[in-house]
Amino acid sequence: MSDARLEEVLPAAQQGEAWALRALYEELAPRVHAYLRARGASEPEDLTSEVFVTVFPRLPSVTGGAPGLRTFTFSVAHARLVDDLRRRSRREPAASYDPDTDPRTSASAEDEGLDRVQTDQVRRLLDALVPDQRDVLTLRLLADLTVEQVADTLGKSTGAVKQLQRRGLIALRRMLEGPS
Amino acid sequence: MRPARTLFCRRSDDRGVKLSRRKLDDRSADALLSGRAVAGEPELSAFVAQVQALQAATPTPSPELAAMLEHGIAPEVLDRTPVLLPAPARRAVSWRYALVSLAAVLTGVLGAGAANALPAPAQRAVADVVGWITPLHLPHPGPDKGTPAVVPTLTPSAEPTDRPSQTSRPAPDVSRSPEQGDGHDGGGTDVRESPSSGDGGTDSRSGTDSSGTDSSGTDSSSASPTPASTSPSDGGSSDSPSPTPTSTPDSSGSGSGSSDSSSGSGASILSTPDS
Repeated sequence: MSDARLEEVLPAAQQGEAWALRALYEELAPRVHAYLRARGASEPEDLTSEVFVTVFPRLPSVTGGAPGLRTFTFSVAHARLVDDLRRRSRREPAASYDPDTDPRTSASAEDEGLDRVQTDQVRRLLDALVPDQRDVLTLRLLADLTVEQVADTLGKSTGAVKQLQRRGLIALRRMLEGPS
Repeated sequence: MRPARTLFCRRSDDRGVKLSRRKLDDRSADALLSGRAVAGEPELSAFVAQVQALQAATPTPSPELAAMLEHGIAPEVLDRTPVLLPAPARRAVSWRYALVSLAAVLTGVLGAGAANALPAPAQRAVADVVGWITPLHLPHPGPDKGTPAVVPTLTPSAEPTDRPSQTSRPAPDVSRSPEQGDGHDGGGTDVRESPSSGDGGTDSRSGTDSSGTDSSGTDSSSASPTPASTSPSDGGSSDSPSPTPTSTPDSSGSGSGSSDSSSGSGASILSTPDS
């Protein structure tokens, strides 16, 4: 769904129409979920739902059309993520996982395993970045935000965002090239 | 010829390229982050594709969110208060820098003021402001260095090195000989003995007069208003004012101050009725 489609749907969503809310959710939720997952949220799916439960009732006060909606949605997502990471950092370390004692089953365990490996690789590289660089790159890559929208989301200047994304990419390139 | 391998070469192919030091301009960065392939950046392009592949299917909503998506939101539940996005951090930083800078400047000025190290006008202003605002008292600046300190020296031993202060008294006769009882002849250094010595910056009344000065005592009435000289022993060349009472009523008329046309401060000292 393009920004034009979001612009069409947004007025109805601001009136609380269910179909419009679903359209917004289908457009934005995968990006929010991917952003939270890439940043290491403990329960990205639940957190995604929390984000939209917060965003939808406040849609009438969103200004700026589709870009404003994206900026507001990812501002909420970023705030929820920060809360989640802080909450986890205060918790006691979790007990080690024992698959033999886990009664849960999954029909797509192999797919999930492959997906987890891929996600872990991405997260490992992203986690090696400076936090500000990580925020900027994930928001630009996964949320599809512009430099100005990222600046508004993170409360930084556009110049700072440009600098962070450039340095983050250089750092990533250094890591991807591997050790000498 | 292959280029030499550099310190920054991280590949085994010895291409001699400074891989990690390659520049990355904003345009290339934007292209990469938009998902477009950029020549010369295969690793970053692959990584971007991998990250964007994390976008999977729409996640399952929670029951609360599923109810919203199913039934919509009632108008009375909708929140219409304005959305406040985080303010740009640069404002906070600029305020922080401004406060720190102001505190540093104030600390420096107050410290310099407490040490009396400011220029006199600034020191006076700072001392006044601090004294007005706080119970503290900073030192006020001393007198101007161009103005000699007034030290009423009345000791008879002070050398008569002064130039008479400005008075309206007419200059005494310069042609008077030393034998006429000037009190400055004793020391032999009295330049007034030469009639021509009184001009210019040479103070004829200065010198090491012992007879006139010591014998006559000190005329306190005449000496008191005269500013003191800080160098009583600088001989006849001194042109600094001196309050030294160098004359007595019987000796002052003998050409005292004879060479000093600008004499005046020692009027009551040097003038006698017969001069």
